[in-house]
Amino acid sequence: MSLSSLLVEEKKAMLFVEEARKKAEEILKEAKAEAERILKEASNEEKIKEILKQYEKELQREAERIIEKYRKEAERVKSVPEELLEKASDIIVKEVIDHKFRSS
Amino acid sequence: MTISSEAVEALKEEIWKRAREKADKILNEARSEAERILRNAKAEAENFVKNKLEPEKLIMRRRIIGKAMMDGRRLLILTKNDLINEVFSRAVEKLKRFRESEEYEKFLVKCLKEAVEAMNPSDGDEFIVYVDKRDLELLKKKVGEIFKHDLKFKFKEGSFMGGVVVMDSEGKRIFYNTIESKLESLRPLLREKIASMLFREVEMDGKDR
Repeated sequence: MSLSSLLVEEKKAMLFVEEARKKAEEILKEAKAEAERILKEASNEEKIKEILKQYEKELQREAERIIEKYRKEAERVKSVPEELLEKASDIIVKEVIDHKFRSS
Repeated sequence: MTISSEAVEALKEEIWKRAREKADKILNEARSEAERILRNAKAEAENFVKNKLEPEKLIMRRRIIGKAMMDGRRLLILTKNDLINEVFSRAVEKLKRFRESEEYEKFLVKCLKEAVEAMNPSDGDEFIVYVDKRDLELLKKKVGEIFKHDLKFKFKEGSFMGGVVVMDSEGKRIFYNTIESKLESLRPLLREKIASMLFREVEMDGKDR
């Protein structure tokens, strides 16, 4: 064992660090490429159109639920009992007959 | 200069320890930086999409959901209107039959009396009374018993469900006191009353279900 063997070892260690540096550069390069891809995808018009199309479908489903709710409400309103309609028309008749004329 | 083999080994260890530490530091920093780059890109992309999509989504929501709400409400209002109109139609049919009842004569006299008195009549005043053909003879017969003043009446044929239209002789004032005019003047109030009666009860009924 001698000093020269230490120098050889030192060189190997430097290469090892150099490898790590290269690997680090590779990691950064990949990250930048991925970031670019993410940004490109975000600004992709087709993708945006697709998202809006999906959202429109969701809204259409929501709109159908709303209309259905009102339709059910209308059906419920229509189910007023016959006697109530008669009672209501009797009230009109009574109000008209009892109405006192006022000249305006 | 000679170094013992133990010392050489120790130095080698030290060289590799430092090299590993340096390499780890480089890699860890790179990984952190890569994470930061990706995080920023994702945030930027999200912002971009949000700024681009949100306004369009909002417009779309207002258009589609707004229309659905409007259509739904219209449907409900039309249904309620149909029912109210049905009630009014029934009432009109009953009012048409009212003239066949015993109370109708009293009602007709009251209509004439109210309309003439609203003119503040004095002795000698003359009025033109429009009355349905079917009521003409009855009213001619009754008119003498109705007023304290000495009034003159000219009867003309009209066409109403019942009641009278009275006009002064100069044609300056004309009072409609027919079933139709009463119904029309009461219609807005009656619509409200009927609506609250029909739909309040229905709503309460619905809540119980």
